[in-house]
Formats: sequence, structure tokens, C-alpha cells
Amino acid sequence: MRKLVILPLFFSVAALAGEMKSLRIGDEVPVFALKNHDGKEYSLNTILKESKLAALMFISTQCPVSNAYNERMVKLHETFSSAGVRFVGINSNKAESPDEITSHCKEHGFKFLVLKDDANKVADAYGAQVTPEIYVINQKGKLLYHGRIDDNRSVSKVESRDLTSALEALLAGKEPPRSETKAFGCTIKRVIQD
Amino acid sequence: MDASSARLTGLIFFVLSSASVACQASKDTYPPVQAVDHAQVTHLIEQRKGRVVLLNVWATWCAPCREEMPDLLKLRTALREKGFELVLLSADDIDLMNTKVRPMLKEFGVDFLTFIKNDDDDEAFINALDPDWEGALPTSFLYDSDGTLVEMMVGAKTSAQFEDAIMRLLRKGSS
Repeated sequence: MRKLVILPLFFSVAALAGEMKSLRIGDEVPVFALKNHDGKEYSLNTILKESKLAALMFISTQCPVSNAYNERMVKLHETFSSAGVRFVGINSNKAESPDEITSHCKEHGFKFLVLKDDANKVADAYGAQVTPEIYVINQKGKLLYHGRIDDNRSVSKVESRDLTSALEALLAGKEPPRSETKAFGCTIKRVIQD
Repeated sequence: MDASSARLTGLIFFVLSSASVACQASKDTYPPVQAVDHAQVTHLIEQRKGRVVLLNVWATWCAPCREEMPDLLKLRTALREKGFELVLLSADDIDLMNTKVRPMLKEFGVDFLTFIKNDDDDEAFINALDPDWEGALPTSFLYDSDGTLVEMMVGAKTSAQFEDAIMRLLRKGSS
């Protein structure tokens, strides 16, 4: 935590923005500060101070796979927020505006923050590739789970609720049954850097 | 059974099942689409050694996949004689084969055998193609004529990007 606090927010993201990093379980994640649709800025440092775990969710307003998980994300938030898990959506898609994100949040009843990642700097710093893609982080800023919400975009076919299992285990002080998972999804539509 | 025998058995089974499915498809359904699991997907490349292969993973729900499809089909037509082969692999749910996948392929004018994921384990399927791949669509995997993966192209690409990458390998093969 000490290291996170002393790192200047802007520097830590900017330093990594030019290169695509693939975070590994146990890595200290890059800190960031991003704005909500109303212009209010939220920093990962503050979010981590106020919660036991943070679940960063790279999501999209237009991706059919991400949208297939809207209700599940709402339920996860309802289930785990009282236990100290802070869910934060991050939208890094270049074509999805703050206004569109606001409408999407209202339409789907999102009670969690959705922050706009302009120029996909946070997505680049985390190496996020796909929507939806989840990173669970503890108060020390360590990555504890990375991957999918579950194993099927169709709710009726889900067999492995990986994010739920990981959160339950972590809140109980245990290792997640699986800390890295994958699923098909949409690419994050990035701004092309010169 | 040692590893090489097992691989050979798997390959024989795959070739026979390919022929069977292709025949059935041409009789009952059009265009032909063959289901493959994560163990079989690598055989798609092995079977095509000697040609430069672009394996494009797409899905009916993926807008950028649909957008790049016409360019890929044009490149297939233009470069086939030069030793290029396009392999289309749908990541759609197998249940959608007849309701969505085949109709969309037909709409694109696809008249050759393509493939669809038939696997309960998406992660195994993703890792079979490349452990570094996160499963984002569209993604195209470019293999040289030895069947070696040369480039993983994540996200939608332009016709020029595909053509440049393919031509580099075709020129390398002919020099």
C-alpha cells in the first residue's frame, strides 16, 4: 500500500501507457484516476482504501458479450458490495462516449461506477484485451483474480461461476479456486497511437 | 499408445470425420460447416502444411468480424492460386449453426468448408490456438507453410494489413 500511495497517479499510468503489459497474479497493479460521466474523478487508491477488494470490469456499451453480462454484473454488485467488494466498470472503447455510457448505466440499472478510460491508457497499462474482462485487486494493490465472470454468455448454460467463486474464497481469506480464466468476448476498440 | 501414434490416430479420425461431415453437409445443409473441439483445432493447420494459412476466428455477434469478412473472402479468391488458404472458424454456440452461422456464411457467399467450435471448454479452445490469446474477437492467426504460427492479429484488420502479412509469407515461401 505504501508504494501505491507514494506513486504519483498520472505518472504511473502514463509510464505504462505506451506499452502493453500483461499483468500476472500477485503483481502490483498500475494505479489510475479516471472520471465518471459527471466529471468527478475517482482514483484506484481511494477505491482500495474504502473496500476490502476492488473488482475492475472492462466493459462495453455495444459489445453483445459484455451486454449479455449486464444483469449478472448488477447481481454481483448487489451480492458482494455489502461484504466490501467495490465493483468499478471501465469503458476503454474509443467510440463509446460518456453520454452513451451514462444512458447505458441507467438503462441496465448499474449501481456501480463506470469510468471512462480516454485513449485506453488504463486498458493498455493492464493489458486488457476483451470485454468483459475482470481484475480483482486487494487493498495492497495486488492482483488476485483475472479473467471472466463465468464460463458462458448464456446464463442457462453456465457451469463455472469463476468470479463468484474467487470473491467468496478471497473474502474467506482463501485462494481462489482458479485465479486466471478466459472466455470469448469483444476486442477493446483502442485509439491508434502514432 | 505413444504420443505420435495417438496424434496419428487423432489425425486419421479427424480426416475421416471431416469427409463424412463434408459429404453430409453438401447433401443436407449448405454451406458445409464442420464442428471441431480444442483437440481437433490444431489439426486444421497440420492438414494444410505447405500452404500459408490465415485462420480467422469470428462470430455472428461480432460486428468487426462481419465487417472484415468480405475483404478476407476477396483475398482468398485472389491468393488461392499462390498458395494461400483461408480457414474460417466460428466461435458461436454450436446450437446456432443452422439458425445463424450457416445463414450468415451463405449471405457472405461462402461456398467452401468452414468450421465451428464445438467445445464446452472455451478456455481450452482459446489456449489450443495460442496461450497468449485472451479470446477477443475477431482474431486471425497467420501460419507459414511449415504450419508455424507467425502472427496473431487481434482485432479487426484492413484488407491491406491482411494482404501485406500474407504476401510476406508467400514471397518467403517462393524465394
